Amino acid sequence: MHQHRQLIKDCIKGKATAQKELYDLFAEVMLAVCYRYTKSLADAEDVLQDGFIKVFRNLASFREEGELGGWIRRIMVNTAINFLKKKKEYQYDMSFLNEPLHPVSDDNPEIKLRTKELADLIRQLPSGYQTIFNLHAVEGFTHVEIGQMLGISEGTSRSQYMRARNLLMTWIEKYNSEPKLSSYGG
Amino acid sequence: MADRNFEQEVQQQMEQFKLHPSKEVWLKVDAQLRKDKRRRWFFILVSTIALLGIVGGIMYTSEQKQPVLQQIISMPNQSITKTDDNNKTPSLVPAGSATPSQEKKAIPDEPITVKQNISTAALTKNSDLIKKDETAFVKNKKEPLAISQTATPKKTNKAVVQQPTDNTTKGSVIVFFPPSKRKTAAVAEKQDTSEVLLLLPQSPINSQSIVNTKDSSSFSIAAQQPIAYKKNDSTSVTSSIPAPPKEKRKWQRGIQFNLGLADIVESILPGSEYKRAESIPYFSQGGITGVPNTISGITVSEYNVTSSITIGASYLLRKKVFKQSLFVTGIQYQYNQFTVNQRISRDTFSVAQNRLVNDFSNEQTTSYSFHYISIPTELQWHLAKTTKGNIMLGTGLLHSFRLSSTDGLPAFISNSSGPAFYQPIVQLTPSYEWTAKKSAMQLGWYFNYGVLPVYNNSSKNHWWQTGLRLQLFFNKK
Repeated sequence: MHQHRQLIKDCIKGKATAQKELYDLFAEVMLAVCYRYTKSLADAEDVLQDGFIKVFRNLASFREEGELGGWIRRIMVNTAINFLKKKKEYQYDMSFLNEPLHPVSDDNPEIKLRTKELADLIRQLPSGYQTIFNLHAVEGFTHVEIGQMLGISEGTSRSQYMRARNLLMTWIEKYNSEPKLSSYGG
Repeated sequence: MADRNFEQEVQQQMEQFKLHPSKEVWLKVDAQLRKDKRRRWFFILVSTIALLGIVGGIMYTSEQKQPVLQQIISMPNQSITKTDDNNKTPSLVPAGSATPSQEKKAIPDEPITVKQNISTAALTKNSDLIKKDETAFVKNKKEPLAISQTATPKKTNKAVVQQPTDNTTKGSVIVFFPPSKRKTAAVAEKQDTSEVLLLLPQSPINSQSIVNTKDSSSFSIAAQQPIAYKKNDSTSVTSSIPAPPKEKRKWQRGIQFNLGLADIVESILPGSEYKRAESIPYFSQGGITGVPNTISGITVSEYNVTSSITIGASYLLRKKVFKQSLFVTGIQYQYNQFTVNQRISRDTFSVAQNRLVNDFSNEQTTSYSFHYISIPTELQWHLAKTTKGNIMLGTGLLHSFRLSSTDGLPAFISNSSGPAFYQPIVQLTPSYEWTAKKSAMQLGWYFNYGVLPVYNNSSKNHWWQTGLRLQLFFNKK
């Protein structure tokens, strides 16, 4: 029996309490997904909003063979890609908006910080690199799949990914070599 | 981060990454979902109305296009002739023997007598006789015939007999029948109780015949072409006459007023109660080692919903759809209200007294009102007939659209973001209808139950309404 079967049934029936429950269950994880694909938190929330509307509209088509979280994540990724495609200027937007975020409580704040910093570094990549890096390194799509999703060749996806990866590693190394603010606290 | 584990590391890090979205995101998602729901209901409503319209249209047109009745004037071995020269009353004689010279011999066993005032009538095939596209046929004497000299009979429920004015048809009689009596005409075999009914159309006569069945006393005419009978005409005539045009079922206009009680209930029975108790622990989250709360105790909230007024007024349209039923629709304004009595009582623990002490108590009553515009879709079924009227049963759905409502929510409804925009309400209304001077009046006792919750997010609150309604339907002009 699927873990969220009853919740899904109630959501399909249109029960608002169930819809809210489902939203609360996945909103934080999904916002993080959207955040990695966009350049601003406002855009990430727009994608999250559109994505959840799609989730609720199409929940009846969800097959209980897979994980509900994975299914929702896929919808969020597709929504994010569509969002980026629609906003063509996004492709040239290299700015990094350091918006206040609200990491979810975690027992290990150090890990939490690193996670957010890594996510922020990914977001600093040019949009094309950023998208391909997220799709391949984080979501696990193959370059063939990425090519189909973005309408580019497999080779382009592969080369863009390698550039993104190298760039990111350079930034990470640089970041690691820089003295931390806490070291000066002394 | 080693090169070979880079993707794995990134994946692991990102799986732990979470961000808390702002509240506005959910509000926007929820608003969109509500809009979707409204659209869906609106679509269902439109589809239902369209379906009802189509079904009604099909039924209406199918009744209009009823197949031409193939009715036969049953007079086997008989023809219309005179029974007595003095009497000049046409009667039926056996066919074959019915020649003018043999009229007297041809007197049938069971003569059919035309009314006295048409005793000189010539039953003729002459289509010139026909002035109007009307139907005449044999009619029982039990229902008196009105005689009119005018060419065009007035609309009436009774047959109208006319004396043609032109010379060619002198002595003939034209009997006009109301639509409801054109299909068949029963003729009693007895001489003194029968009359001849003629079909008098405008178009020329085709083949006609009159056949009489001895063992049948019924004498019916239906044909596709007009027929008239000439006296002494001994030929058998069959006639196909088009089914007479049916009277169009027009919409009957009316108004309605209703007054009653409205309630919001979990079940069908009114007067639900809700109770809730909450405790405030003595110690805070630190457990027994934590700092004691200054207020610790139990808060009890009680909510009691009582019935309030419901009032409405409607403009209605009504039409016959089945043999025994009427379809009613229109537009209705409806005001509904329910009242919540709330009582809160808090008992706190007094360290000094080492017991619970009531330190707060409050009681208040709040009314929640709703304004709806509704579209009734109701079928009123005739159940029984009495000497003065009809006993009826109304069944239907009242499609209600909320115009406005009291701000705020009843305290017992949690997790709700507001009342529903669309509210289908099932109706059951036994009623009695009688005819007044210029209208049909109907007094009913309605029972309404809301299909959907009044407040979207809670599945346990539904409208329940009951009361009296008075409908007035004006007679068609």
